[in-house]
Amino acid sequence: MAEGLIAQLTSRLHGIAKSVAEDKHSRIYVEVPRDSLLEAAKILKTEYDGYHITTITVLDSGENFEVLYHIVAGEKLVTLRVFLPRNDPSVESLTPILPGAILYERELNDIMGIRVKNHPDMRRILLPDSWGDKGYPLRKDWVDPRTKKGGA
Amino acid sequence: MSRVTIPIGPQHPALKEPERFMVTVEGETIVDADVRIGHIHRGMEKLFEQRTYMQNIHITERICGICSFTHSTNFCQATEYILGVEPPRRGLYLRTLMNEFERIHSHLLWLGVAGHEMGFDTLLMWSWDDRERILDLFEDITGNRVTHAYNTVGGVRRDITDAQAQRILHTMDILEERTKAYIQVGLNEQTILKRTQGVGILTTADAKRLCAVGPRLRASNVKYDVRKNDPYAAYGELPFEVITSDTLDVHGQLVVRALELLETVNMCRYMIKNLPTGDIRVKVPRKVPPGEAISRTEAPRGEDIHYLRSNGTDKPERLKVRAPTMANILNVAHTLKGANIADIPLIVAGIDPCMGCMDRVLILDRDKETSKVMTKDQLREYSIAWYEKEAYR
Repeated sequence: MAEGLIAQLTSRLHGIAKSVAEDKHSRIYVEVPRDSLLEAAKILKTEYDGYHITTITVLDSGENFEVLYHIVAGEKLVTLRVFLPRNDPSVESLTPILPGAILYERELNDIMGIRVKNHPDMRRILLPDSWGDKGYPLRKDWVDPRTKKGGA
Repeated sequence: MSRVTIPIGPQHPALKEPERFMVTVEGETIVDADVRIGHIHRGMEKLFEQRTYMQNIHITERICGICSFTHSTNFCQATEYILGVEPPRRGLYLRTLMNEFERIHSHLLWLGVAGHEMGFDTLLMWSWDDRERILDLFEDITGNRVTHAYNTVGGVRRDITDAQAQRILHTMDILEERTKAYIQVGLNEQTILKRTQGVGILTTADAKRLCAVGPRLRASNVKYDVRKNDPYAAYGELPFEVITSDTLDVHGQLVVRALELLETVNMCRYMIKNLPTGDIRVKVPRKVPPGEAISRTEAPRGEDIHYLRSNGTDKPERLKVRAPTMANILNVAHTLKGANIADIPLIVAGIDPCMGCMDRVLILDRDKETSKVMTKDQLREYSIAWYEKEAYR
């Protein structure tokens, strides 16, 4: 199964994913274009038993944002990787396919300002309701409003 | 019947930690529930990016006061994956041993809390007394009872002596006997049965759909345990069973945790008897080459995941933490629907929630420029002004 899943995913996601790779610790990383995210998630769920979304990680790498959807498919952890341009950080919601994603997507919006389209319940989750427009704190260019210069 | 929405929390006598439930009820029955978290959000994910790996080991330990060791294990593992180092086998065994100690202490703690929530405080007194034994062992071996400072990247920091190994075995004998007593109590005691059976039912389909983890998932009859399905540290070499229950309710969670205690006691014995000889750690460089890694562990409460991205410096580019309570809080809101008001504390306690783990990420104070000392009158005025801004007042 170990080599099996990577080979299966490589052929099944051909044309959908940009790349499929496995690291030394048998974590599978699948890079998909933004438009194919839902399709890839749907394939994982229906064909590879990928009903469990563990979490969503978002990284700020300067010119773009990188969103990682960690999904347990069978015995393996498959990570769907999506790059979003900085001037348009929006992505389709995964919640209709994987209901467990609902809180993690709210977190994406809260801390990194990723706009999640078609999300059923987009409210604040981690930051206080009175946060207002003080920005998205996990972005690398965020300045702490409590300090004059920002940073630590 | 007319519907009433009751806010429970953030501060409420029935809750041990701050979270807010907006519960809509018809009479005694809950028809809708919503959870608002984030009340003890501490800005940790931002902090990780500004501290070195060595400092971060100690910060990750403070994500949670109960499952501190599983978080530091995760962080150390992720760093080891990127560095490409493998701790010596003795180090891995000791790390696994501490992880299992933590499971004992956490499950005993949960048993006490559950007993307290169902009005059976004797159970709280008993199980927390037994929990002291494992805390004493922690103190004996690591020097600390709660945040152990025992893990490090490349292994663990202290070895155990033969005398300590004997003390561990001795304590395990006592705990096995006590756990068997708790299992008898849990299966036969009327207070427990009446308060937990049929309460907080989460079906297998719903548990999968809502991505439940840990004992909550296994009590919904899904055989999934990261220790078995994605082995880390020394778990691949240990004999143990994954416990499940098909009753789907809070009683099922109690049974799963109690039986897991027995498995854990046996695993600890096995590890002491088969402890490999040799070094306990390898030296690692302070700077970590660019890369990424995912580490998963089975915390006492369920699957815990750390994603680490390094950038070649001595500080991480990003460390994402998802603690098990974050995954389970979704199914709590679901399970509350249809339940009675009196069962809220028990259903919430059922998943063994840990808000500190869940909220980790950001910011200490609201819009104060800097911290300052307030007089009592100033504080009063501030709080009145703050509450008047709240929409639902």
